[in-house]
Amino acid sequence: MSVQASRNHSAPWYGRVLYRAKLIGQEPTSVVGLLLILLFGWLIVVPVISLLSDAVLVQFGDERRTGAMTGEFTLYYLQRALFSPISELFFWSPLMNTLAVAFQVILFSLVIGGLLGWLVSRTNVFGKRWLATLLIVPYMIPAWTFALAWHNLFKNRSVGGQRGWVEAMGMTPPDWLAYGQIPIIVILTLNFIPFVILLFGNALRNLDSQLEESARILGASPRYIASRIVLPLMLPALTSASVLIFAKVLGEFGVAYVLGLPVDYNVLSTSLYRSIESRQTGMAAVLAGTIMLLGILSLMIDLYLIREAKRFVTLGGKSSLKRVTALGSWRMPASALAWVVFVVSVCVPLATLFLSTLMHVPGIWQWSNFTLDYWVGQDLRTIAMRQGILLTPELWQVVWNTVWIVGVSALIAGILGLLVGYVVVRSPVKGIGPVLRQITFFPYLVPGIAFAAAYLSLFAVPRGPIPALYGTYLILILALIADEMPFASRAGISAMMQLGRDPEEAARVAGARWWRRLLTIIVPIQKGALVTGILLPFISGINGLSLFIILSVPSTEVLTTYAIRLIDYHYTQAANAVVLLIVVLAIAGTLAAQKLTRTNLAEGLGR
Amino acid sequence: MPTITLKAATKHYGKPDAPAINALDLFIEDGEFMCLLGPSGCGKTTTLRLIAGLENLSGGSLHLDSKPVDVPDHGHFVSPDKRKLGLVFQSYALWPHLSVRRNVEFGLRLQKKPKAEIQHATEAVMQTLGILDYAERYPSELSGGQQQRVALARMLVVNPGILLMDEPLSNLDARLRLQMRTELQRIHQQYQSTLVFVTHDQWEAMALATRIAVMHEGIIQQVGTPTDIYERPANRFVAEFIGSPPINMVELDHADADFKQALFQLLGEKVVQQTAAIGIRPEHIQVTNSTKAGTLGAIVLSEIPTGGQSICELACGNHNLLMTTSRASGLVPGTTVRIAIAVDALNCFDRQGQRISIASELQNSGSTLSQSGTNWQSASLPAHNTPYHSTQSTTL
Ligand SMILES: Nc1ncnc2c1ncn2[C@@H]1O[C@H](COP(=O)(O)OP(=O)(O)O)[C@@H](O)[C@H]1O
Ligand SMILES: [Mg+2]
Repeated sequence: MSVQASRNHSAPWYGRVLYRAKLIGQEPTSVVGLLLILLFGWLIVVPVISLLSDAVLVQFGDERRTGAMTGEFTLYYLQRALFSPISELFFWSPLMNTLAVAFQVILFSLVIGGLLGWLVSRTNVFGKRWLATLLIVPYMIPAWTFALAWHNLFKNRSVGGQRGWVEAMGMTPPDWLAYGQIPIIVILTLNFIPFVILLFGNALRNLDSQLEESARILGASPRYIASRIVLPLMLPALTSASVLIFAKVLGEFGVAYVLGLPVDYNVLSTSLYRSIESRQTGMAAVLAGTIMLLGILSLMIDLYLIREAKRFVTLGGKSSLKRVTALGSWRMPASALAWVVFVVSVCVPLATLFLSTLMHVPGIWQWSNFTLDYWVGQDLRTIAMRQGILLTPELWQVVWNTVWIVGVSALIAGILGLLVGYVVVRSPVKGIGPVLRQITFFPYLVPGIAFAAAYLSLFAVPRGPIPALYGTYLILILALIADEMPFASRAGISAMMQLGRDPEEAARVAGARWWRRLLTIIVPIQKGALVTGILLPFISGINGLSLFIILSVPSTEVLTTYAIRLIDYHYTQAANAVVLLIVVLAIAGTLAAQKLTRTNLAEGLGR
Repeated sequence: MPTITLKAATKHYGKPDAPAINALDLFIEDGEFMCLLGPSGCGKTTTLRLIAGLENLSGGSLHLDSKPVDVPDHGHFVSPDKRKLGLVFQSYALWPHLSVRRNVEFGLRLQKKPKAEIQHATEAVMQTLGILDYAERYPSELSGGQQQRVALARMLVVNPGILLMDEPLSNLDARLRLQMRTELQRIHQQYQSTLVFVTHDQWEAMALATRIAVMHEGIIQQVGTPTDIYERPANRFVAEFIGSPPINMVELDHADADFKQALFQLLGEKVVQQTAAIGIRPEHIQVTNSTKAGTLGAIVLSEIPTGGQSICELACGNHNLLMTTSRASGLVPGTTVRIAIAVDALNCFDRQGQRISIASELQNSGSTLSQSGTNWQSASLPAHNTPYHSTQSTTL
């Protein structure tokens, strides 16, 4: 019998409507879901729309140039950005540079990272367990830290401040080595190698070695097995890594800023930064839109590839056998290679930064050249800052700013993430879940610098009841929350998916209402996920540069923007010291997160 | 204690043409021990969750006592936290972050009972269930059986009028299961509550329930006492689902002439013409020395001893029959034997698979056959631990 047929004819007309209302009303899940959609609509969707519309609406002050009134539709900015005398400098060459950097970074990091991933997951390389952790360290540190180290090593006389190490030792590095595309590619490659190691190594670890062994029994050579069996199965992981690297390079700002600026080498993100600095809002919108479009495209490709890959990749579960390949006579060279990568990508940069804060002149190994002045000195006349960085009140103000701004946003993001997870998994009203999931994932498609531009565009002026937020802490917190939502909500959703309905329903039958269940059942059970959902955003917030560099003003400065400002003033040692502080905070935070949640880093992938 | 009334209850998960339960009518009496029995996926859990209020009906109605708690057409819905019932989940659903004591206390704390009373009630119920010693442990530190008791205790402590249990014994090993069965019966007597129990295990249902509702594909096939269900299955599904080894189902379309001939004599033409299939329980077949009319020849195919009894597979004409004997029969595979069938225990089903009542026909034809002197006495039937007791036996 169908539902229709079983309908009671004496039923009142409003019966079903009342019933629906009661079902929805018995639990606030749907209402909370709607509120969350509204909140994220305001925090995520509106800024992006506002930004994109800036590209085709006449901006204040451009009336004469465009020959139209403020707020009218115009193609002026698009035309100017794409097909005008300045577009080569402003748009096309940054675009080409971005693509050139992205593709080379992908190529090199896949080759090196893939090799290392294989070495640490499937071979008997020396110090394998140590390598597996140590090679990941660059992943915890912001990429522009390495740029700064490079800068310290190779900079030549075209910029001020402390001299470069190489130059101090008597050689003058040419510009192509000191600045521009090559160093940017090297730095970004080193930074993304861990990412490939994690993705590729995990995929390899899950690959059942019986697949290889059955091919070997059939007489296939190792090379044949690698190219016909292992590689095709690894392809999804590799393409996924490529696409994610591409998306990240698009939004990468700090490295290009530090290494590109001295020689006017621009990528999309630095070009965007410059146009924002010079208050060309319409042009900035075109650039930000381009970055977003490329980001969205690349992630679409990734989603498509993942879906395709799911059709044939059935990687083994826990039971799969993991055979270790004995490297034989290659064991020494392979181990050496892995350790060299570690030394080059972690030890050298950090040591450079650290030592340069201890030396008057870099690269001179004389006792008299060493000093603690840059950390704790007082009444210094020889350097630009009057006292060591640790004695500068400004630093502590900035540390405090960082901790509380990032801390509050991470806390809110983590809680909202769990709430989003709850609603996505439990909402009885169809549509709320998927919409919420999509909205909170959206910032992932939008590189931080474009997102910051979007916030600037929306909140720079008062809108309706909301006053102008530019220059306040609030805009930073809101932008950070929105920017971190993809990770927080993903953590929340996956935690809620694993929980199952039973524990909560048991409480419900026992008589516990919604809030009661949330506080006494869900939150305590999901403590671990909640901590992760707060700590991961916290770490990446501390590292983050691109949001802050656009939205911070001197009174809301944080560690990263402070470091960049010190660089701009050529206070090299002070900048290095600040960067080291950030590195220490980031690594400590990551380790704490791992300890607390007993997870490993691989789960925080995607940052 | 409350009654539970489901009328034309229908529930689908998004697809109206594939309902999980379909037009279900069920009345569960006050203090009854009702068992929902059926294969996996037949809608037992759904029914239970509907009663609990964790799902809502798509159509029909649900009343607890005479109070409408879920009537879509009239806009009635009472949320589960107000239905005052207890539910034991198949997974137990203990709260992993709370100790055993905290788990058990939870409901009473919600009711804001005084501390002393909470402690007293909690300890009493934990004592009853033998988990007081583990009060400070966490669920992950308990065995399956202990977790099960905690789940029970957690529900019993608030003494709800209705107890719902979803396959509570299915995760236990065989011995614990037997032990918990008796415990459940004791609990039912002690608490006097209406108990609805879901299982896919027919022996569990037979042993525990006062009445059983057999479900299949979202539809109730039969509601009755264990004896009813075993002896007078309402349709082919019930006949074939209940009983192990399974009932022998002989399709008359494929039956050979001998078999049909005998049936005509026995049941009369009217019944046989309606009948599409005949169900014979394995214990209603017996080897006989008699070669008289009504017995059938069969070839022994195999014999499987199963401890107390043994199961023989026989080829009789063009169908295979299973027969149980009380102990090793000593039958040699490949040999030919004569078998007799207890005719009053036959189950006849029509083309739609529904049971045909043959009681009246047996009055006439049974006596005819008795006069010819070929019946065997019920006393000579092998004694089984089944609820079945033959009242009248006739050979075929
Ligand atoms: N939440 C759900 N969503 C969709 N279909 C469901 C859901 N729960 C149960 N079903 C379907 O309803 C039918 C009955 O399920 P269930 O009541 O769990 O069966 P049982 O407990 O008897 O094994 C099954 O076909 C199942 O697939
Ligand atoms: Mg079930």
